[in-house]
Amino acid sequence: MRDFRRYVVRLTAIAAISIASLSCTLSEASHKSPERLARAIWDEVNYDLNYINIILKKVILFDNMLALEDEAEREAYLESILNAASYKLDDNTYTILYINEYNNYHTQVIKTSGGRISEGDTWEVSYSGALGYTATITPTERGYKVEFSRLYDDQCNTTATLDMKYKLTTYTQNINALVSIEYTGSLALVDYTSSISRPLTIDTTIEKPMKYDGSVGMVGGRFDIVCRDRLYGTTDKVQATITESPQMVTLSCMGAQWTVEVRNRTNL
Amino acid sequence: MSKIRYIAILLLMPLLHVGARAQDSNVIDAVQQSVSSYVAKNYTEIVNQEEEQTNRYGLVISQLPSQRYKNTLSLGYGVLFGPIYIMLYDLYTESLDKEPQRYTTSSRLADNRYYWGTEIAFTGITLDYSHRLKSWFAMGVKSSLSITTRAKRHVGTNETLYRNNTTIASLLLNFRFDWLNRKIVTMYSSIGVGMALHSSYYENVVLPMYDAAWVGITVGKRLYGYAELGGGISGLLRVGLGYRF
Repeated sequence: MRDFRRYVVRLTAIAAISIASLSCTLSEASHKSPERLARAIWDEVNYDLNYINIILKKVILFDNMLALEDEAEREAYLESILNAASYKLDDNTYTILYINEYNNYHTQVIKTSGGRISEGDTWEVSYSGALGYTATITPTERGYKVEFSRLYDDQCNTTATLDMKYKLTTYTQNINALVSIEYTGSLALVDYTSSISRPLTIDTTIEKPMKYDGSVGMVGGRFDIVCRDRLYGTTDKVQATITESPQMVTLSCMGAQWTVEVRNRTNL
Repeated sequence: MSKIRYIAILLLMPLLHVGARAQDSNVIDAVQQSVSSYVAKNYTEIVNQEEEQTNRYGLVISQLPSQRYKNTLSLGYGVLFGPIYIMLYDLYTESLDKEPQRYTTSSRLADNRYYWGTEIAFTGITLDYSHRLKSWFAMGVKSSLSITTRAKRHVGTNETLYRNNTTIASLLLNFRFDWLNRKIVTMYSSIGVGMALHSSYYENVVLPMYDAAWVGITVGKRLYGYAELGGGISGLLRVGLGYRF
């Protein structure tokens, strides 16, 4: 009996030590950095900014095209500057047929009152495809007020209210034109794809005017971005500052800072 | 004459001794019979077995530790789970694939907002009880347990979003065949079949499971150490300690 107890005590001690020594690190912690989060949030805002910029650029260029009297000149402008295939006018509404680099077609509809925005008319621009949007451009004393709304997949939308100015540089020797856009205001993204009752929102305030150069993309601006995910109960704040030279964006989040490339889209 | 008497006495001594023993036995007959019957009742069978059952090495089987005790309890640790864990995790991944997760803005941002902490594992702990039914065959239950734990944490605050504790536990009916018995060494093979539970943060799955020790060796008497080369839920290589009782 004493032998048995002695064995049990020994066995228990050995087992306890063995089990304690069996724990091991199976895999190390994954990369921990808020940079990826900051970039991901910025990417969402950057997507909308690019989208708005391209739409505004095309609208401004189309407005410029209407200054041309000759139909042949308009067609040449349409093809070379707007990359559009054709347009038609019906009851003060322009329907423009675009072809993208993948040879996909989409049509943009511009409802007017018969004039040009550069001459004080209000335009309602819309596209009712998969990436549908509406933009109302109203001339104001300081420039233009842009009310933009994007609806994606019925469950994600962005609205933007912007005070915009633009400058159009035309060249007499050819039909090229350079658009520079500048605006302030705010963007609000609401995403219901994860949860309808607890959506994700990204609110962006443009603290310093966003500057867009039609040939190179965004070259200026400071954006305060607040991302709230009610599903996770989190609020993430990111500040993005775009510099012109070099054309980069500096992201600040959780006390850290990173400078990354500005990813510009050239087409819709 | 004296020589002749001396030789006669020597020759007759055995007879006299037999006579004396016969006389003694007559005297203590009742006591001896009582003791003899007790011994016969309790030990005759064992003695007979000892005398009769010897293995090919000439060792008395009942004197071998592996045969003297009917029950065995062992605790061990296995490594190199390879195929069986791949199977478990493949099944697990497959089951996730059946319900594809929607990749949303929220989930994409969450992937970047949270990171996986260090994964700690307690793997391949086995507890085995067996009962010997024959000199070469034992049956029992074998259980194994592997636990891994890992926390999903916020990149900024390190707060834990959730912890994924994965447990793989199995319970098998185990059959052991001793094919070599020596004084302190026993070699055997075993096979076990049963069920395994794979439990994680995401889901619980119960699967049929097996474990086999192709070649096993124990070294020791009552307290012994063992090593096995096998396959299944306990891993490819196993070592441990056992106790016979």
